[in-house]
Amino acid sequence: MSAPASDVLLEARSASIVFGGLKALSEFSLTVRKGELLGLIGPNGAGKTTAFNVLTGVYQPTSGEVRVCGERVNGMRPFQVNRRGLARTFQNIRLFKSLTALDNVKVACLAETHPLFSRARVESLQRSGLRPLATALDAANDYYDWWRALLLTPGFQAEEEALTAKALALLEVMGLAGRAHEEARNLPYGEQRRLEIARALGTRPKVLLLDEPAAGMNTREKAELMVLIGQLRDRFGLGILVIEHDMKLVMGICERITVLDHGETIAAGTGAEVRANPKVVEAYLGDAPAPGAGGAA
Amino acid sequence: MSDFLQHVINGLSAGTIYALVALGYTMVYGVLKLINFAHGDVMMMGTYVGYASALQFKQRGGFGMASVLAIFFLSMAACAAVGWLIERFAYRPLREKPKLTALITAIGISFAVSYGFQMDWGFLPGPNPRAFPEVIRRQPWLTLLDGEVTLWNWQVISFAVALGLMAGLQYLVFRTRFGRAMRAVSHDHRTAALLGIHTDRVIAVTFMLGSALAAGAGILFAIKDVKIEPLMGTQQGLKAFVAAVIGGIGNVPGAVVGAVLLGLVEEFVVGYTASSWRDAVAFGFLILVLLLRPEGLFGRVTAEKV
Repeated sequence: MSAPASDVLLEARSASIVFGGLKALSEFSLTVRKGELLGLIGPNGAGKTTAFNVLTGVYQPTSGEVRVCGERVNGMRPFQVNRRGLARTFQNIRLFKSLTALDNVKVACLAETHPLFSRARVESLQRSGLRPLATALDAANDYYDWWRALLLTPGFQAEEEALTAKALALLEVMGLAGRAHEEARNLPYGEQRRLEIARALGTRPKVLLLDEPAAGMNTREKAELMVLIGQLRDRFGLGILVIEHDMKLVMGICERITVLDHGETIAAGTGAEVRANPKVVEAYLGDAPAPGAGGAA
Repeated sequence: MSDFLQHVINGLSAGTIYALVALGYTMVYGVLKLINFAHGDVMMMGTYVGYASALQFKQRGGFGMASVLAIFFLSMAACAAVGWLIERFAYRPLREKPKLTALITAIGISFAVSYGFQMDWGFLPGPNPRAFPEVIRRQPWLTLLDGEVTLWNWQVISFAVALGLMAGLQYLVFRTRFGRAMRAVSHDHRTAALLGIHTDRVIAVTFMLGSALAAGAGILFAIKDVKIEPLMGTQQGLKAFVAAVIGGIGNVPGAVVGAVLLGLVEEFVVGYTASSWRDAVAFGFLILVLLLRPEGLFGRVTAEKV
């Protein structure tokens, strides 16, 4: 990670998506580097979540491209994009509600397993065009793993313990250490939001996309969460992109901010630059409280 | 009293076999929200694979422990492959289509298989019932109350096999990484994919597991009832489906409890009234459960969003 170019973890180049004639996102460009914390804001329906869906492979962009760690991910399926180092949380919490907090995180900890064929090898095969072979090796990895579990090999049990330890450590980072064995559905709202972040971290991402992580929290909780997000970036060396309605919070912690309205990028830059942009003022005045007023939901 | 005890034994023995088939319905429903109506016919195919391999062993000089295990293994492996094929080529292309499309496809596969097996071209067995070879010599294992109640050896073996397979499944679903992935996919496959889980592979393996359990059940049925025929899957599959719904479809322990209840109810009806009442009472029991507890005995009440 010495050369500046390799610091770019996530890059969208003029990504657009059209739904039945409606441009939900147009010419969206964005660069997230290692250690950066960026904000994505905009009024309701501006296309923020659509942008996340395009970045994570849920939607395929109609034009333009998305790159994760330099590799083009257009046409890849969401699980493949995730394995390239991109993880996300959801605006409407999407935990596995009947699983315990610990299991929610363990589900995501696939990168912790010790496969038959290394992930690097599978990915290099895929890059060199031998896709069927890569898929076959990947499948062999999964089947091998599942059989080992069934046959209770000692290696499997040791790995399972390591996995539990890793997941517990992530829960602890997110302040959920005491909640490991509770079902996700029984956790208070704020803790469910933090559990989603812990689960996303379980996939060992390089970039974390947080979709309104502080929604529904009070001002104090929001401020605490933002501090925590800053700490996560430093601790794991992540690039983080946050969608947030509360301009004040975003201005406080994000180095750069992109503002969307009706799918268009109307401003991008530092907090001060964005705040001074007349288009931003207009977009927000037409919808909800003015920038800086905070508390828009 | 002795009658009652005998009926309980017989009912439990039928119920545990239903349970193995019901588990396949409930697992597939869990991950795909699809009633796989071809499941009973997969069981029938497994029984025929068992039959064919049993005939081979018979020609080579009888049945030992190893050959019985081999019959189970071959039939379960063949059905796992069939389950994979059905999922890969019939259901996966319809994954993003309306659920009804896949349901109709399932019914289509069921008919194609059960009536296809009544042809007598090539390896297909033709419409006539066959007698499954006596792979386990029938002997009383235990007699109670002066010989009025008999627990047969095949009943004990069938219990043990069914319970062993169920315990293995329980372990797999709740204690292993695959099980966790399966539960995650069952809860929300789109979110699971965004966490790096290869959801198609998890679904395919779920089909294979369910089909292998059905094959095991098919052989246990054949040991119990001896007669096998291409339409057996429809009847037994429907019963197992009823059991899964009674227990709360999608719920693993529910399927087992529903199946055992159904086995007992049927046995009591046959024992105390007339065997012609059996199916009427079994389906009547289903209607009763659905009226009183539409989500099934173990199902969770879900509020539909409107």
